Amino acid sequence: MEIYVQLAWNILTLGALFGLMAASFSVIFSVTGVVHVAHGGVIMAAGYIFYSFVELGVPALAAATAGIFAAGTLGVILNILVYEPLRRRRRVGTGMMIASVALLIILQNTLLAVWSSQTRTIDLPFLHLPPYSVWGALVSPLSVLIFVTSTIMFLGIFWLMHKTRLGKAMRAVSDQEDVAEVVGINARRVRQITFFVGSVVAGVAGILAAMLYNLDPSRTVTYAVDAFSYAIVGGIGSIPGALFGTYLLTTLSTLGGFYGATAIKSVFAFLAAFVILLVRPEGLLGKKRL
Amino acid sequence: MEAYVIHVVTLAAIFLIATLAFNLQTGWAGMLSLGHAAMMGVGGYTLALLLRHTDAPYFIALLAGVCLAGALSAGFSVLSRKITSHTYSVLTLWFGFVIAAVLMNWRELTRGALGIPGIARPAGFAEEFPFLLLVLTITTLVYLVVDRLTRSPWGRALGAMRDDEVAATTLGKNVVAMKITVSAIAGGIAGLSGALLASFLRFIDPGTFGLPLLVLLLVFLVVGGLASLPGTVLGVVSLLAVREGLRFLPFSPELVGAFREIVFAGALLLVILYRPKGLLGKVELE
Repeated sequence: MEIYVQLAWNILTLGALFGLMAASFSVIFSVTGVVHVAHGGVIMAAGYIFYSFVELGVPALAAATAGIFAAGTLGVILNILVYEPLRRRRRVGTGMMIASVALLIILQNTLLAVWSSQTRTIDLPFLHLPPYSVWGALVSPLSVLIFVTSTIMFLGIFWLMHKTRLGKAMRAVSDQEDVAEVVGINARRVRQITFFVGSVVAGVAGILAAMLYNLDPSRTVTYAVDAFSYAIVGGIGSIPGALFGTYLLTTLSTLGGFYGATAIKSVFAFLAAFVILLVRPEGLLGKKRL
Repeated sequence: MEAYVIHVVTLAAIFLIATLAFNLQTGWAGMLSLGHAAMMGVGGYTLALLLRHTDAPYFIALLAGVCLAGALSAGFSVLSRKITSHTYSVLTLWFGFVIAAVLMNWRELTRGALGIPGIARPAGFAEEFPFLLLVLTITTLVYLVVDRLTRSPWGRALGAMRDDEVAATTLGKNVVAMKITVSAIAGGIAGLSGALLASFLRFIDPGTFGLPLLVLLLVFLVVGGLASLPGTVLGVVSLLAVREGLRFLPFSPELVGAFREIVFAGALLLVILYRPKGLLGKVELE
């Protein structure tokens, strides 16, 4: 019995963490149309900056703020330097995607050059606290933090998209950019803000992930691919879809791992995304196609 | 020094084989397959595993690698025949990830991350220089075949399909059949290149055919220029020279590696931004 509580909690927290990555990737795609593979680099950059500040003795909360803000800024810079110029040159299809893959490689290797390939571990007293025991399952304080933070972030994204003027503008640009421009929405500015918001959410996920796993530049590609697969399965461009896709695949891979098929785990996520792209390119809950 | 030059020229010739096929599919047919590096992996692993576990003669194993990569690539085109070109690219990237995950996790067969050591070269070509001659001969043959294909009526039909699929269909061209055929040819040639690479390196692991290789091929292709075979030759030769030049930077190997990747990805980015036709290309990346 305890083992099932444990599994459920693991799925809940992992899904929340990767759901953040997938949802922020999805928001950016839905509003700007950019298949932002380099998102993985933004996620990791936040983690590394957080790590460096923690090492310098900066309080954890301040270090996290710095990492999150750096991620947001990085996202905006990438948009200004690469995606907007490509858009002006009307190269929004394959060219944009290759550019994003190139950016991912550049970010990954910059992290490698600055922080080396050595594995970095975040060392905070908070991470050494003993886990709580809930119905026989071990619940670490970190997993509670991950779950609570992610839930707040999801509610925040939902509030932003559906209850604010900015969110309305974002949805308008997502639906029909030209029409949005006609009614006086500055689409370029909306895209800029979207990149900031999406990258901030990615930064939060990156910092949580840095505490849960360790930091290692090769994770850049892993996170990019994970966020992309989950978003595709759920329906790229839809936030509930991103969450749904993440939980679906996390559940399947966690159960797969539990029943001894760890090797199947990574193959399975790719295969699921692949098959869904093939038979239903808009994903399970999505409306937009890649 | 001599050994080093032979090493680099062999590598250039092997990469050229893969990039020629890449250009046939992307430049002429307009299908950007991001699974190209994975197809090289299929060819390389097929050869390595057949030589390791069976008594198959070298060239039979090579042929098996070519056929399997071609068949997978063609089968993939059959599955994705109703999909737009952009989604096709994403899907092929995913197809590549699936193959990489299988190579990494099917440990009983592929030894996973341990890789396969001691891959043989064909009898009589085991030394570096004879192997180079063999590779150069194959590269020349591939160049001539691809060149002939692109100049044939079929090659012109490919160009028509790339520019306007509907128009090509109204002229009676069977677009789906062309896509499947060109995928089979490009995939098979990629498999050939991967098998030769496996023999040349004598050791492969899933990382050999991973994302860095894909980016390398993309840079060769995009910088050289789409739909131009001389452009591809120029792209491969000049960029590989740059890549080898960077090796001599006075940094630690790890830093040199990172810097090299940044330079290559940066070059790719700059070409897409400012010179989408590349050096000698005839068409732009959309």
